[in-house]
Amino acid sequence: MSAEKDGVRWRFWLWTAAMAALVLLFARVVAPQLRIETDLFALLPVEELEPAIAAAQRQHSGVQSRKLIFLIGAADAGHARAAATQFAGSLRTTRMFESVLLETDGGTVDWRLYHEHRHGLLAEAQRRALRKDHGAQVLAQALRDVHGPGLAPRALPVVQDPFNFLGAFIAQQAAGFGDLRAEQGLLMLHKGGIHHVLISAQIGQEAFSVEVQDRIVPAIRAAEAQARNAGAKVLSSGVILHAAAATARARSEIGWVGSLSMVGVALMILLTFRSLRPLLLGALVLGCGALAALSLCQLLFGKVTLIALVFGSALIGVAVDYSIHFLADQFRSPADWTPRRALRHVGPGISMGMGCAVLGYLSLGLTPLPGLRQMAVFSATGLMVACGCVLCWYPLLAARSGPGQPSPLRWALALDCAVARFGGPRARIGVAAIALIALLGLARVEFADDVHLLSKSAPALLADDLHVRELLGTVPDSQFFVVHGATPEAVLQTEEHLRKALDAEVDDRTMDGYRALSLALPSQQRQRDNRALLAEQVYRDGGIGPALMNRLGFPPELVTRRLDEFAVTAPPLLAADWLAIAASLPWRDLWLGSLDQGYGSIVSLNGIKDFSALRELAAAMPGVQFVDRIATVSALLERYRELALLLLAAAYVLIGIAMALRYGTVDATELMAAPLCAALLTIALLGGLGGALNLFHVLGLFVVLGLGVDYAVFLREGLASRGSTVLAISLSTLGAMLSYGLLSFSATPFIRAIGLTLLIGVGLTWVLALLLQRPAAAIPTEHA
Amino acid sequence: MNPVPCGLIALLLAAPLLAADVFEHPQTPQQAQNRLQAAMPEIEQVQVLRGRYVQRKFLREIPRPLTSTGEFLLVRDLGIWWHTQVPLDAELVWRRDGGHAPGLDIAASMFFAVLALDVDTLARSFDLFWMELGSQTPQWQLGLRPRDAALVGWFHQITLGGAGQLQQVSILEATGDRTEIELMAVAQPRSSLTASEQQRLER
Repeated sequence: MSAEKDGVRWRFWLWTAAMAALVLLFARVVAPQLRIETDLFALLPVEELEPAIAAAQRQHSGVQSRKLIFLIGAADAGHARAAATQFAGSLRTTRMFESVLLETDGGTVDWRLYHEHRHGLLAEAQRRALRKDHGAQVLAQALRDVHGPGLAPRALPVVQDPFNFLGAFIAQQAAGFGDLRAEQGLLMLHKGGIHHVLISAQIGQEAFSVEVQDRIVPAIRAAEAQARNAGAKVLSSGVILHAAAATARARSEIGWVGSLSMVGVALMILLTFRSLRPLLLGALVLGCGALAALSLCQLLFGKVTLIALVFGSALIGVAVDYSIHFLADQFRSPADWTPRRALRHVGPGISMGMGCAVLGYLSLGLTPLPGLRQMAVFSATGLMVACGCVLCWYPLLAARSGPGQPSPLRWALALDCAVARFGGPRARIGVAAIALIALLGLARVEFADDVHLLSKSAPALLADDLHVRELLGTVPDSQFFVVHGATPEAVLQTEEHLRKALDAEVDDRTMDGYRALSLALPSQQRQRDNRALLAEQVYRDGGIGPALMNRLGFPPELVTRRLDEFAVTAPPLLAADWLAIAASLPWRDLWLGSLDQGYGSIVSLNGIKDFSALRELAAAMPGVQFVDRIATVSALLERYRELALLLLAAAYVLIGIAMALRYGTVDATELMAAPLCAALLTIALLGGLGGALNLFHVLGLFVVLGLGVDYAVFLREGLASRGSTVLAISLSTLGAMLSYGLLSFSATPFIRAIGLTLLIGVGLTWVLALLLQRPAAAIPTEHA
Repeated sequence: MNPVPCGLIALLLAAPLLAADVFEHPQTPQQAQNRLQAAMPEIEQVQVLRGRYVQRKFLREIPRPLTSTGEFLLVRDLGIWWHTQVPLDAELVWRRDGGHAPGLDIAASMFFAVLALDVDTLARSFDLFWMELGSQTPQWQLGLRPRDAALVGWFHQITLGGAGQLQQVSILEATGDRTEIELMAVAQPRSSLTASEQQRLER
């Protein structure tokens, strides 16, 4: 006895020391680096892509997500300019942005490098035309241009480049800039009677970090309000705005759902135990569990994702059960109850319940999918630590509450008696029949794995985005091509190959347009080809070069000089040199540079109408990948869901085996009946309610399983104290339904899915457990 | 000599030259608008302008100017049809609402603003200058100097001149090439536009 006493004491102090260490660890190490990740897409691996490409894609997405576009508009151009200047100024004074671009340096770009290499640079249209009818068309067009109205732009004077080859090459690059034009040093757009000024900004950090959102978004809103007060219109577009809106919504939901369910659970505990102590103890247990889960996730994964937090916080609700179960034990024999006796009585049940639940959640962690792993680690850690707290601390800290039988216990007993009337063999057959029907119905349950489950943006933000897109006309779609090759030259050659196919797609109206940096930097091979083409058709005796120059009245010595200039072979323009000049600025975001293996670039697309055509195109072209994040994520959600379903089945089997080892096969079958039937019925009900199921419903079922196993084990271990056990699981059900029921009102689809599943699942589990797990005597034995 | 008379003499010597150069007389957009309005009271009513032109391009290092002639049609709310007839036959349509080959939208809208004397649009990209020459012809000149770096690298200046109507456009490019366009046009009511002309400009 004294050894046991010492054991209890030892455990108490050891655990206290461990928890103190945990708090210290959290405060000193974890809290400073704690990062809540709100990018739900970050949970999903991009497995379809080779690692190098995946890295390239992440880099590109990262850059895109840090960009912001503002259009400041007013009916009066001067007004718009003033408002835009003020807007950019107020963004700049915050010093939170890596860059805020208002003034354009358009036109000051130094084209000299292009001048030197001009004999290798040709616009696509002119290349094509030169290969036909010995350049007759090119000659005719050049004559028309020279004699056309005197306001057409040329890159070089007529005498230097009579065909304006370089002008056409540069003009081809301008195609990607839509209707924007530089006016008085600003980029402006005039549409529908409104003058808009474009401001683009870039943030230095992750758009999905809550901390970054909290600093940057208020600064943007303040600048917007200022501009609107000045009578200007502001259109803002950027990933961070969506991310911040989602964060704000999640926060307010977690806030009100959390506080409402806390109040509910607190009331329940107070009413049952009529003392503050159980409430404080419960809070302590939850706090330790949450701290441990947060710390381990942060340390293992480098960040904690929002979804793990939501899922995990729901699971920690399960942890409250341990406290309730422990404390409810006092109603078994109020006279001689001590917390130490309770440990002996309910300790095994709690450990068994925890073990089974952790087994179930850990099966999620066996997957290669980081999102599910994080949930598994978060939940399992939280549960184990909560269980440890109850088992180690409660024997010394818990105390008997006031004398007398609390009304909740009487209600629980009455309830159990009422359920008992329906219990027995008939109930089993009935439940079995319903479960069978549900099982058959499973085949008809529909699944929908849509990316929009993850994020659903506010309509106002989407409207702004759409408006910006319409105005600018060339905002890239979220799909793009990644081109990769062993050398920059190989990348550029592949791009040129791809562009040929894309031009055909644009002609077919499969899409509106694309941006590719090989438009501004042809491969060396292409430059040599161009030069050869010019040598063959233009700059030779009898070619269209001398023909045009003679028609325009060039003196003969000038014609000779042009031909001589061409004959001096200039080396091709190289990527490294081009990347160093200002002319490459608008294209640099497309250049991925050196990857793990080789080099890569992005070809961005806009106005895609036929995705499959582009996908097929990439499939047939080595070195080219079509990246469609939306489709990829939907496909991943489907895979996750299938995998999670399999794991759920595996978890049932695992837990069944664990129970069979402890209770024998027959009892284990009986114990597993309630959780299993509850899961089947939940799926059938969810399907029947008219919704298609998805990954998050399945994840919800994991929590249902955890609770169901707890109930089954508690009832089995608490055979001798049916009343207090029924009270414990009823309180747990009530608490769970309260918090999860509120989650099912969430505006975020995936949280709603988890909430609804739990609301239905937990309720059914509880009813079925009481109905199916009747003691042999079928009559509650204790009365106070 | 003391510096004051010296400066005075210089000023006196320079005065006749200054008087001949429109670019010595900067205007605010509103001033330029008012002056244009005074010089051509009916400018707002001109919906259709139809006529012939002679264009001469003076290119550096090429001894003779390149001369072309043809006809043109300007419809204020649609755009410009420019028909070169000599030395070759070529048609060009520059629509008011853009949609041209890459890079040409800016040139198109600027050329339109020049021929339509759209001071509001011109003032967005150019500093404006104005001068009237009394009884001589052309009686007024509107000078344009680009403000944006993009345009500075393209033109040095543009001079428009006319008496009653726009008669001359002179474009001095940054490279030193110069284009002179003489216009002989008649303002006509919108109703004079034939269906085929309308179609031509509407794409």
